[in-house]
Amino acid sequence: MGNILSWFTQRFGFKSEKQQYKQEVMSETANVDFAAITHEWEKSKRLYDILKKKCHPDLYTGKQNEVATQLFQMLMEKKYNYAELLKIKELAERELGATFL
Amino acid sequence: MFANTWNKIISWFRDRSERNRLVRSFNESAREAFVLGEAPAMLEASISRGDPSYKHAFSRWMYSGFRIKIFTGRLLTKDEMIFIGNTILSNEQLVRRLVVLGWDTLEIHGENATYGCKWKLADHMETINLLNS
Repeated sequence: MGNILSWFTQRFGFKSEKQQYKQEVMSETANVDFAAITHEWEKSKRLYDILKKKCHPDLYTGKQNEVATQLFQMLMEKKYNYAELLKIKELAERELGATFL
Repeated sequence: MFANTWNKIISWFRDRSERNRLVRSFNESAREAFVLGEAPAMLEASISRGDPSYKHAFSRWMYSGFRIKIFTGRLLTKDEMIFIGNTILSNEQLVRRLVVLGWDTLEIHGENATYGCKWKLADHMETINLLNS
């Protein structure tokens, strides 16, 4: 049935700009990662709460203060993305010497 | 004329099945997270009426809301709802797919759905705004 429908669409189909755009988005977003939301929303909330304390620029002086400022900005932008938060955590450990339990 | 009408019929059926598939996949993933103990609350997606003032170029004329119910066994705070909502909105791929499939409102509700938060999806996707103008 699906094959017949797509044959008809290819044969007689006229695609407006809107429909073309829609098709592009549908193919680009075919593999939406639901696990990033359903599995990780709580983890990212917890990790963000820890990181915002550990990376606060007021805790550091000199060059470390600059690094902390940058990390804090990154933290604000990526606060809902668990994978990015893990990268910030690694950076904080390496650049600021922050320790996490 | 025939081609255009035919195209509309095809996309209506295709969208309908895609919408249901998206909701089903989301719910399966959420259930799995809850069962494995990775998430403390269970999320459940469904289709709702949506907010008519949030319409955009791809909106369906009815049932254009993507509602997520959160089962926690307690009352959710507004901050928690906003956090979950923003987590969904930060996933650009998902937002683009939702918009293109005809959803225009994201709703986050607690267990008894007496109150919740809602977002206009088009605000989180710049290209749609270009198409509207």
